[in-house]
Amino acid sequence: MAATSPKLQLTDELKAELAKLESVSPDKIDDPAIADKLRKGAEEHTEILRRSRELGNRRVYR
Amino acid sequence: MTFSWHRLSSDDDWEKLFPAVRWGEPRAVENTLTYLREHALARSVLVERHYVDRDHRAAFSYFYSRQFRGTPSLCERLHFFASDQEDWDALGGEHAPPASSYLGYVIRRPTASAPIGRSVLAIDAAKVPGARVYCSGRFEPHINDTRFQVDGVPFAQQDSMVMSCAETSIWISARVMSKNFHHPLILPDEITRPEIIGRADHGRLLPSNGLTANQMTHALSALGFEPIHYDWEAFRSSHIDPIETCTPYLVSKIPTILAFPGHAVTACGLIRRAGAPRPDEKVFLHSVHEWIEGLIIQDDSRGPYRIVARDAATHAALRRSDVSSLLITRVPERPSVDRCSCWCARHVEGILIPLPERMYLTGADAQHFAQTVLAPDGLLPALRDILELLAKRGHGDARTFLDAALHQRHGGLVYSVRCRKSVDVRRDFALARPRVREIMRDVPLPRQLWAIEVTTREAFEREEPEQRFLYGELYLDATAHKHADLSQLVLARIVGAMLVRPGLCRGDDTPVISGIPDDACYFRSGIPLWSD
Repeated sequence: MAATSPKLQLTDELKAELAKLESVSPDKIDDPAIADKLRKGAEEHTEILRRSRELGNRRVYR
Repeated sequence: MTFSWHRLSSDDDWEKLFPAVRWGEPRAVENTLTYLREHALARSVLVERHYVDRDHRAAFSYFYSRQFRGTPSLCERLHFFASDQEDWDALGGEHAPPASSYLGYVIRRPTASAPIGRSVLAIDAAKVPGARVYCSGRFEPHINDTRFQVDGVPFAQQDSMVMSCAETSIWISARVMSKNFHHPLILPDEITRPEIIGRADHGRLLPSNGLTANQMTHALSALGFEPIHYDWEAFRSSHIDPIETCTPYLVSKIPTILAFPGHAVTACGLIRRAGAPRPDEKVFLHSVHEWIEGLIIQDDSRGPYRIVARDAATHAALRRSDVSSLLITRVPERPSVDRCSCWCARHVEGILIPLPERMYLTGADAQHFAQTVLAPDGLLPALRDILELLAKRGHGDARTFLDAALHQRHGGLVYSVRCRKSVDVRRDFALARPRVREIMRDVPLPRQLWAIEVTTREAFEREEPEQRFLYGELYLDATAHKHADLSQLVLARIVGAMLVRPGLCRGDDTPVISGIPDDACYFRSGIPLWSD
């Protein structure tokens, strides 16, 4: 791992602003809208696996 | 004499290695020899007689010893070398061939219809330009007291008695998993058993008459894997790319079994050549699989290291290259409907993945996660706020990442997905900024993680691999519940911001975020299809 770009100095002002952003409520970090998209994707995937099982006896591989 | 050397310079020398195959599938023999001759550049072979091969012995006890026709239980092992070496007597010493000239071995079985038994042949980008065979493992055969090394993927021809293509693809996959994930060794007779196949609704199991996808899935489960099976018709409306499905597993050293009409093979690697067509520049979120031209497969009836191109156009381009002898051609069954004269990825009708234990989250789940959280409206607001603050204060890398993710600059984002061990992830953070290392130190991680590594397209396509910097990395708990929402994300680091869940192993999924102003993008070696 080799760093590349110049670093930003951590001034007191920046430190205070970051502290404010870091203290955001945990339920606002895990965005419900994004979580909902993930849930829908997982459900679709589960359904594909279920249908695949139904179709899994049709063909023989030899 | 147990050992004898043979020079391989004329057609006659090569033809003597395998007497004519009287029935069965001669293409596997021809293609194995062609690979050794044209790609591995073999120049001599040491024949080791009276070789006791575990796999043939197992098949012999299970089937061949019960036939009236006598079949020997011993095999021969052919060791191939890239050098002319005829003065070594297999007793070690200074005349031993240089280790670098060893190209692998082929077990010559005493079965006339399928003489190629367990084989491991060397493969790398020097032998097959563009080849990235991530499933290959290191094998160390010894000739008396001299040990050689070969990096390759096990292969065997189907004998259509104990093993058809279905059983052979399971056997090859199991061998790869044994090498890469310490799975117990599986012998041929252990696959073709009623308790392993589970359902005998297609008739008797011996001689093998092939298996259905459900039987193969059951067999993989009974052998200790946690397989998943996709049938292409199950996707209905959505367009699914077999290369997209296979890539996260192949780059994680997990083979995938591909089901073509009537025939199963094992995918073990990928082809990505310099100068290959590039993905659409009007799309701003890409996965590395879009740069792949084809899959490298072990085809038990056509030979080792065959190439299945992405599509007919890619097949045509590869035919004009130096890998043309590895491509698979075919005669269309119904030319009025399908005139394609090659096997390509669009002909795949199913995929089986022999996942190792406790990998509950799949590669597809990880890809969906990447596509969701790296989309312009998907970046977690808490991380975005920190990156915007840093960018406003002059953090160039944070600005570059935000511009690529939110404003379609720098060509947008490119990501790759692979499964990694937590110890390897931690090792990669060893040279990170002190604050990043401090955070990492106090965060327990599961043993296996799905890693999503992110950069800009501009950085990804740089000529020098050392300039292809990493801008972000997200890690998902491979043991997470499939409906775990965002709590599957156990660690995220995007230049200047981090998210961790230090209490997750105690049942507390509360995220903790941190701003790290001195963080920067960096080069990481070994990212598949990127910096490897």
